[in-house]
Amino acid sequence: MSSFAYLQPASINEALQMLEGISPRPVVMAGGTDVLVQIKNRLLQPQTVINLKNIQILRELKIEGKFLRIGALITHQELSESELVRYCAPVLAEAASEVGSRQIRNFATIGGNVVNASPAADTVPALLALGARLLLQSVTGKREVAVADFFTGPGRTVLDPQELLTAIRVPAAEPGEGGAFLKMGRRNALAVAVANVAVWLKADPVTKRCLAVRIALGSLGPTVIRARQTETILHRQFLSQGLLAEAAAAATQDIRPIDDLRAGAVYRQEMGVLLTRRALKAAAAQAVGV
Amino acid sequence: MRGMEIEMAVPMLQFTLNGQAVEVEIPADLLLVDLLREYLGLTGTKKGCGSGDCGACTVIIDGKAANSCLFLAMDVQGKVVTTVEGLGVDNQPDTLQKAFLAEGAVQCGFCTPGMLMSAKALLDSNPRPTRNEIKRAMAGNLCRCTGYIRIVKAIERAGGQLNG
Repeated sequence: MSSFAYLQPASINEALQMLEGISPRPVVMAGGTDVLVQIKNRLLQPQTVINLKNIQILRELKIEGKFLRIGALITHQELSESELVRYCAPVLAEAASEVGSRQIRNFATIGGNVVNASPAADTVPALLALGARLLLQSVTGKREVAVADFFTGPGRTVLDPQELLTAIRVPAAEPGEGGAFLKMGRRNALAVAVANVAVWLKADPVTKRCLAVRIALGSLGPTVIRARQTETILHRQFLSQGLLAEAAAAATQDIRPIDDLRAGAVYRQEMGVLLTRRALKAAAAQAVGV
Repeated sequence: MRGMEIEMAVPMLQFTLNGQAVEVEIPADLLLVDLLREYLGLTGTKKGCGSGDCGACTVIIDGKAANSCLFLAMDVQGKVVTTVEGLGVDNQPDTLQKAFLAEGAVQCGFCTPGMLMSAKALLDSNPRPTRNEIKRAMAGNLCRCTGYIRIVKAIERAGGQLNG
């Protein structure tokens, strides 16, 4: 690697001033497990690197009203172990536990996973299914963006060059809700997903009518996808095994996978439907015992 | 704030390595694996892939297993780092090392330091892991020789799960 200046701001404001004032734009680093690989491969050739690790407020993990607030520096291991996350957003805890390996999860952050914006990112379908909102900040102010509106293409987001992702807000789980996350890869760990699916649904415990559902599919298009056809079939219907299977089959209309070195498009198409079916069954069972 | 001044001072790194205080002057872009192998002569930690995909470079930082190929040396400032050299020595092997030898869990030996460090990090926080817990904790370490079975048995042995 060629040498760079290494800055470690102590506050969000200090980091934002650096992003605003240093040219060319510095590379921002958290756990480093994506950024350092990209620097080694010369995809990034920074003159300046800003590491956010000293900004303690980015490590907050707490309930704020009806939301769970997750600081951008929370690691995947922390998400998978946290009782708060496992209770309030279990789908996210499951997804985080599937990232990389223990060594990676110990230091890789959810903020980094989101901003890196791989189409195969594991936390992203979970965040989309949960209806998460991303908190962005620059020297000019703050804004909140829905996960659904954040990704524009492989590795691309609406994050401005002078902005930082500071936190993620996830609606905390309520009774009658269920979810599941499933990942398929070429091995049990250290695997970029061939397909990953997150389901969140809310149903009436007595009538088993589906009140709300979100199904997010990853690695099956240039960005994470909502399985809209599947969701339409389920919405306001009485959940049954037959309905879940019928709805899962419709997922094939929403996904546009490609051939790549990990898997062919045809296989991914079928696995997307399979994982959707299994995740729907698990989520419905968790929500209302269907 | 255009044209902000950046300090280009060469940083002095201070941290604890295998129980000893270390102070060394390094460039900001030096990776931890290179600090250990090239600057400090501790070649027990291996370089397998350079991208966090094999675990051969695993060390323990503040009790957590880490890929040293994806860690800037500057980021161990003030931290406690353990490498395989900190486990045991030839005539006084550590419990884990003895278990690996007893179970025949070493073939070419290249993955072994990384395996030992991931295993140590596991046993330090979970002294009697189940087989599934071992597999999950070790999933970030690849081995091309052994087929993993004896490595898992060695860790079970070190965790007191096996007789003898």
